[in-house]
Amino acid sequence: MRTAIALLVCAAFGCNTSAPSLLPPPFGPTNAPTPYRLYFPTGLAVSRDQSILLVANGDFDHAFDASTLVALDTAYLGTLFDSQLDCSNVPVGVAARTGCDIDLGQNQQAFLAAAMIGNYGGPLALYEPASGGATAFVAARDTSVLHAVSLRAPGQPLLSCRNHGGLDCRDGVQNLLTTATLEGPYAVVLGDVVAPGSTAHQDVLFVGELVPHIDRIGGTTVTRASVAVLDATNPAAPPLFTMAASDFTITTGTGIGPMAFDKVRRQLYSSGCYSRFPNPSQGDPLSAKCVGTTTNFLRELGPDAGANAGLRTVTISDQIRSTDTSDLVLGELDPATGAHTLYATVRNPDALITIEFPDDPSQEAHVRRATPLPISPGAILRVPRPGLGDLLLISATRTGVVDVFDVAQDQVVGQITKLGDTPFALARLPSPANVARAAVSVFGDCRLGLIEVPLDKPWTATLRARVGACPP
Amino acid sequence: MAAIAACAALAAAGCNSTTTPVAAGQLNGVSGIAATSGGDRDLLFLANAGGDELRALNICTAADGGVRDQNDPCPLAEDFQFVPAPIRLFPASIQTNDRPVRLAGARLTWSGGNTGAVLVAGAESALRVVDAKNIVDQEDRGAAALDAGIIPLAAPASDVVAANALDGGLEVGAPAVFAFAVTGKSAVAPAQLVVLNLHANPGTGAIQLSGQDIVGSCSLDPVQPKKIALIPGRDDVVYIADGAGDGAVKVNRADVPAGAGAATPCPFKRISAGGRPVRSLAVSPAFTEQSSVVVRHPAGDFLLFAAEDSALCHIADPLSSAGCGGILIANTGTGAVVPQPTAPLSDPGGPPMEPLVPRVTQNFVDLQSFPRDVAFLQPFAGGGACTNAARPAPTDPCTPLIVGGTNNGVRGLTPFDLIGVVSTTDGGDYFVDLVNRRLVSDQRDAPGGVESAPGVDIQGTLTPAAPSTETSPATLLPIVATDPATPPGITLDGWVNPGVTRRSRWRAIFHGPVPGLERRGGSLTPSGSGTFNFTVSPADLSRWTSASLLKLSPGDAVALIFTFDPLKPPCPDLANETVALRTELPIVSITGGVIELAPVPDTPASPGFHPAASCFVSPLGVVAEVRVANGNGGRPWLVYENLEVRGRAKKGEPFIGREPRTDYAGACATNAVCGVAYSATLPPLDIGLAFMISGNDPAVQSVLSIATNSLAFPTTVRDTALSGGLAESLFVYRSPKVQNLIFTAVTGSNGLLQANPLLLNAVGGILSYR
Repeated sequence: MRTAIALLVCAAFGCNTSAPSLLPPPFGPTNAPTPYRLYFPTGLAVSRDQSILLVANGDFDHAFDASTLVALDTAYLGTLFDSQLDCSNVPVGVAARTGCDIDLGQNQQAFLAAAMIGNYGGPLALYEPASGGATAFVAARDTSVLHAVSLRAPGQPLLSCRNHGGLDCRDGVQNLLTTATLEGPYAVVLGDVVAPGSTAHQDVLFVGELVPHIDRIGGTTVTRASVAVLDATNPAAPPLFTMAASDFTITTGTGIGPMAFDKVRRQLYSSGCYSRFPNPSQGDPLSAKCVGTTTNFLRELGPDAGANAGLRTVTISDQIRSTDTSDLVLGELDPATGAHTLYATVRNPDALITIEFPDDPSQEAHVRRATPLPISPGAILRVPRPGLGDLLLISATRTGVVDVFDVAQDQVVGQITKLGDTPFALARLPSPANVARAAVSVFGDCRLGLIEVPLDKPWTATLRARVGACPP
Repeated sequence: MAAIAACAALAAAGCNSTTTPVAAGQLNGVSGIAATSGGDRDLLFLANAGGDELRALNICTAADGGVRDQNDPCPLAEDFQFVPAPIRLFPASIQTNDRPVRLAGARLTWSGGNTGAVLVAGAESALRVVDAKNIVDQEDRGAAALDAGIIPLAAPASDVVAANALDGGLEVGAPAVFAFAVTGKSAVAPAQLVVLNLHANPGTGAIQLSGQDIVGSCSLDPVQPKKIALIPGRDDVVYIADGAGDGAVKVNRADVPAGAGAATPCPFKRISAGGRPVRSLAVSPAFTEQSSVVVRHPAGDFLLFAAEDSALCHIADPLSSAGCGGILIANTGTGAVVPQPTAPLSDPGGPPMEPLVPRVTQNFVDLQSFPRDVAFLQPFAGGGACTNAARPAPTDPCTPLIVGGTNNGVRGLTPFDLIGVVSTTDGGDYFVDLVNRRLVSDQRDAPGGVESAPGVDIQGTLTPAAPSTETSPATLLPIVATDPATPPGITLDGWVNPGVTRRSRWRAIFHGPVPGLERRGGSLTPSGSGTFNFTVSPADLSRWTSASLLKLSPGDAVALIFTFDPLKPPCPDLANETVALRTELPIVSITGGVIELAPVPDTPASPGFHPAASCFVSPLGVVAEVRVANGNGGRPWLVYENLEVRGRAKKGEPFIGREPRTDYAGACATNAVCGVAYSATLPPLDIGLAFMISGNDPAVQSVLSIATNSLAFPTTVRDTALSGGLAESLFVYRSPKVQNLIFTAVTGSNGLLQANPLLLNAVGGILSYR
């Protein structure tokens, strides 16, 4: 009898076996609001009016069932720069005394808003059309969901879900596995296409596939990587089309990492190499960076051809040995020669290479320069300097530094140290004249590094503050 | 079988690499190298850029002649060992600045003997100073670390060198030594040359330097200084590689104004590299040409350049090497690149030599390696070591080098007048025979070696295969040397040329897609005169019509893929156009971004393309593949060498694929060891391969291929385990005990190569520190 009553009570309260949902701060993990925080930050983007820095938290250790996109007040960050501390030689830990380490738990005014998104978000793209409105895009490579968060949508909080408002954007605007058979979406890049039969430029979002899709099992397993092209103004709509970013013979169905869109040459460049089965003899299928490869491809796609875009590959490693590319950033078009420059950080060797696309279509892209960099070079932030040539800020994930490369001098002229574990993405912040201020997401230490580069003396680049920390 | 495997392994290792790994350095982005005296020994310093530190290698210097001098204070147990950290399992970390990349070692004397100062350039606007003797004193005698000072500069230094004195070809100490540093242009200062006068405390031997030791400076604008080189044993002349302009500039120290102001321009003379920027340079030591006429050159006669691509490389002429980088030799007297071989090295006239380009074979293709740093070996040997067929009675010292070991199997010591060493992006070192202006060859330059000529490997069957009904399928064959049209001096089938032809895969693609126009979206509309206008993005196709190797023109063709709105079914004429790229429409004209296309009539075999006007209610969205066809004089074959276009061909017409010269293999100016007779004219742009397509053109897009092989075996030193390559600094070390020990920083692979040119064939002759 007692058992029967217990069962009835259980049934009445909807007894089930599902675990409680652990929402990320500030939405959880308890019911009470918790402080905002940075948690394995990855992608960064700054609003056009430069008032907001958006940070995608990666929730790398899956401590929560979701992650967040947070908005930070660049005015607050500016006050940290204004203190003009030199933290480049202040180790983490003793910094509390120096003011170099900023505890965000005690400085919640840094945060303006947060919205919930999925885990494992990567790069961030912020679409701000001239017509108004702004949408931040980040792809979750574990669920294939594309998240879109509006910034300052009418009638909504500062951050809100692009498709239905509110702060819980975990469902994203679409599942790219369902709509485009895109697995493990990672890189997101804004651009435009001119569809066949049209003359109008349509703003689009390119989403690259890190985890190759399995096309065939049995005999030779065939995988494929694609780029989905979405209407940036209506990201919830099914993709306009997808483009094959790999082939069977040369790039052998491998996934792609970084992308860059060239508006002048009308080409989408992608690179990197990710295989679906790095070691098929061991357990479950995994996806990982290609193992044992000696080639490094730059892949070119012309999105104006739509789904019929042809893949063209340039073997970078035929010119400078390398096995992987970490980031791609376009330089200026040379008006004298028509050549266009693409900067790339490559691995094995760790280097910055300068790729030039000649105006003559019969000529392949040429690697013009190569400069050794610290171990694991990652993201590149281009800082234009009128009359002096560009500076490139380059994060080095394993060595925890950001290097300052002077393009005109073809030389690393400065190095910013003591950032912490795994500096990842970089974003330019509002800056006084003759200075470039930037934020770098320090993934492994759950923080941002705030760095300042005097444009006339880039070798005096300095770390001004470390903002945030992982929980103890 | 084992022998075959060993042979294969040897071939893969470049045949010279009896490499012994030494995993003791904990090297991380090792870049600059310099040596100086640590008192009772030499220290070789390495800029461990990734660790913001230096490493130091102990080297005992006393000549032992095989028997150790018991009075030598240098502990033998520490010879060629890294200076240890306090926990002696690990190498010492000599902390300097952020990212040290360039080093200079100054040999100084004090009342107690020898000492040395190391100047360190990195990512800061200063030079750090290290007291080498203090490092040894800390290592062996427990001395306290001394602060040797900082020398402030206006901007980070691009390079720094010390002008050590020479005695008998070996660097020796002096009470004061000049050093030179260069800085790049910045917003706050021009590019600068800074002259320093270095010294040790005469009483204690301690090094303590500061900005007070800057004795002169001047502005180098518009030069972008990359590297400095000095005439061995002299401190009166400085050569500075210009990374933005042409070649290098020569500055006399006496012309540099005193003080650190640097406002006055440096008076300089330019040494041209043929319009190319230069990354690194080296100045020749004294040497003697010992061929038919003995010519004694004092130190400083020639510069060896590691030239980089200028912005014009492949721009003005896609096939030419104009503006493209490589290894060049310049005459400091004439200020110009030396003439190509067969002309004497010092000849002031004649066409200049083309850049030498080292190549490494990967995936059956010769890939270019970019030179990174250059240095000279010092001639030192005499007598029998300098005797061979080319110099039966040598009079002066020469530079012997172990060469050989390729398919002729012979390996031995070969004397050269002067050898330059080049580090490259592939991580290997190559050797340059200065007098003959060519890369040293493991085959030609080996004792008794004979140079192989390049060859053609015929692979060319049609893909896809022609139908069985085709009685005369298209074929591609090299033009034989006996062909009446063969140019003078050409002796080999395929008209292949040593120093020009490389290991490549050539493909001729019938109706091949035009690069850059493989897939382009656009609109199709009727022109009103029976043709169609395809409006394409970009709006200007002149890049393709004017490209010298493509010449897209009327007669070429466009194949279409239609993109229909699923909600608007196409007209009946187009509804059948379901086979994408099936029909090729001939190009009638090209105007701006509009390609006028002719309709294609139906034939009994296949339907054509002539949709009714009713199909064009609105512009049709199409994706086009533009193909070569009967344009450009009816040349429907697009020819590629590897992945680059080399031109267009048609059946029955010789196709001459030209390539820039990248070596002077076989150009026997002064060295009689030459197995093949070659053209004496050596045009800079010569024939890489000549072939002819014959038979009937195929009906569908098809490929013919053929492979060439340079059969060049440049002598290299490399550690094949350091797969990443990207070598940086070279340093040639000499002491009473060892001559010409080559150290190469393989920066991208975190390694350091040590090679003894006399022991390349011996275990221990090549060491790889990691």
